[in-house]
Amino acid sequence: MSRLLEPLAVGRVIGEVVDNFTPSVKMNITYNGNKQVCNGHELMPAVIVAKPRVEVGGQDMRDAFTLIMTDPDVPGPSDPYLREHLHWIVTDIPGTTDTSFGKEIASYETPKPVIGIHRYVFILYKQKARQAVKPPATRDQFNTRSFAEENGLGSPVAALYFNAQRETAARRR
Amino acid sequence: MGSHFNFKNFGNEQMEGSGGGRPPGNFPLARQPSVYSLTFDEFQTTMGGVGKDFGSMNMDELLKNIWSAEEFQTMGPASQDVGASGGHLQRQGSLTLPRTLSQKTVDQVWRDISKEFTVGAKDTTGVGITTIPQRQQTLGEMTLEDFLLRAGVVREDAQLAGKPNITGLLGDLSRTANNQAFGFGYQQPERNTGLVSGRVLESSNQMAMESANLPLNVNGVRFTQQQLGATQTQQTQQLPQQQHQPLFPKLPGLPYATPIAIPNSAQLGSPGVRGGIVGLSDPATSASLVQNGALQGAGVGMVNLGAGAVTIAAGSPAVSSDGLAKSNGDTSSVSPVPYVFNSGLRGRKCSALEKVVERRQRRMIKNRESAARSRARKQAYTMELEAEVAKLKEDNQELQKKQAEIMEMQKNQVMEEMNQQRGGKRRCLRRTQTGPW
Repeated sequence: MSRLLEPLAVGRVIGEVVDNFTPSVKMNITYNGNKQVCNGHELMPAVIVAKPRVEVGGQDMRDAFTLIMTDPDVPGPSDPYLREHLHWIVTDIPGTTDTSFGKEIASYETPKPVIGIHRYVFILYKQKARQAVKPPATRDQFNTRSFAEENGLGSPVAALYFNAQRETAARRR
Repeated sequence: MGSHFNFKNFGNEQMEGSGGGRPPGNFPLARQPSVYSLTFDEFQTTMGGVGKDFGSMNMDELLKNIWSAEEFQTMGPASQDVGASGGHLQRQGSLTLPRTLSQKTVDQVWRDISKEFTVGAKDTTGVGITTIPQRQQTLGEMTLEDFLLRAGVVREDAQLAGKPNITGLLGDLSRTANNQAFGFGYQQPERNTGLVSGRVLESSNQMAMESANLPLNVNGVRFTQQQLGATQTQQTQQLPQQQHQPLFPKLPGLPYATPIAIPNSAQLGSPGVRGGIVGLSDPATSASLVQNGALQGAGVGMVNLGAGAVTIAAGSPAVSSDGLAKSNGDTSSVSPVPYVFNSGLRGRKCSALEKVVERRQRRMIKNRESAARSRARKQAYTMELEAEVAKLKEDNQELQKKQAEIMEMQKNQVMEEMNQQRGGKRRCLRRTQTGPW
């Protein structure tokens, strides 16, 4: 499974957003029905406007999972003094299903990267009990670690991230 | 270094003198105050038997008187031969005040200055504003520095490119100068010379910078970089012969003098330069000026500065003042920036330079971080791709294996079926009856 973690570590997701963990649940995220999210791949802003389909693995439908999507590079990756910005939280996702079966305690906010190349991170936690996650007070200055701690989510079980920059940014210099 | 220290304090003192209201600051040695920090009244009394009322004196004469006063002051401490050569220098040309000024009398100039104060109280710089109240005195109370500065003999240009460097360098060099009279003036020359002694190229660059920055009106002579460079190369050889070069004759006592003088003399070689230099350096005073400044004859730039210093730092102060004014918007109330030399100059140059350097460093660090992030991104992408490829390969293999297995199974099944079929047929092909023979 370390093969799954290497891109997360190199991309500094492990380190800046979460601590090292052992992935134990599969997670598949797809935008627009065909654009699958792969670690470190870039997605165009137009693609990520609407919320994606997040398929959660696991064994048991009785397990509840929480998905958090944040942007740790606000307002810009070189000086992220507003880290992080919360984009989406879905809780009580039954195992082996997807987010449409969960409860959105923070609705999906379309990412709008302005400065630099942002990382958008999806972290999946396994809940110990259902309806144990409280909505956060604000989306700004969000901290995934502390939020997980406050809500007793423990260590992540899966993580994915993609890059995005503004539509008109210079690519492939 | 003792001389450094002295000079610095002297510079302080200069600054204070020009500030007008400030009490004399640290004064490690018992030195005579500069002539320029004297007020007109004091100057008159100092000159004693000069007699003539300054009011009706021509600007030319005023300057000459000032210089002679300075020479008188500095003749003692300074070496005599230098003074002599300085005197020789001074007589080489005519004073080149700005034309507009040289014809006026002191009274007229004073009236102009007063008009300036009353009419345009708003200066562009805070320095100007703060200094105006100081100026609104009678002519007698005004210090010579202020007067000359105000009169436009010293022009404060707005060219600051590289000024901080120059001024800072000058400040350092100026320490070596021991002449009180031209503390500020020497600061620049000395700086240049010091630079020259240390690194010819550097000083030449600085001089080039300074010369480029020198306001034209100072002496009408602008030393180009080429001039400087060219002359500098010749400097080393020309030193012995050009002791009497205007502005920077060697001061025997000063360690820097020798190496420095060389560049200066070389630069002075160009006729134009010399003319300008000589013109500016009036007899007695310029000699002494030169002596002190001679410590480091930084070449043309220096010369100009020296000349400027003679003419009350027309050039160099302008340069340094520009540097000072610009580098520190919050300079103290000392109006004649050129006089705020040593400590003021160096402090300002340091902070301005430091800011620039700091900014550059910060930018570099930011760039490095951005590059590191970019590399990490690329690496993460590559790793992900490799992982994907590996996974896909695995899947592919599995699928292919599965497919093969299935094919195998299918084949086997078909074979079996075939076998069965054939067997059935064979059985079917058995004869059931014999024929009737």
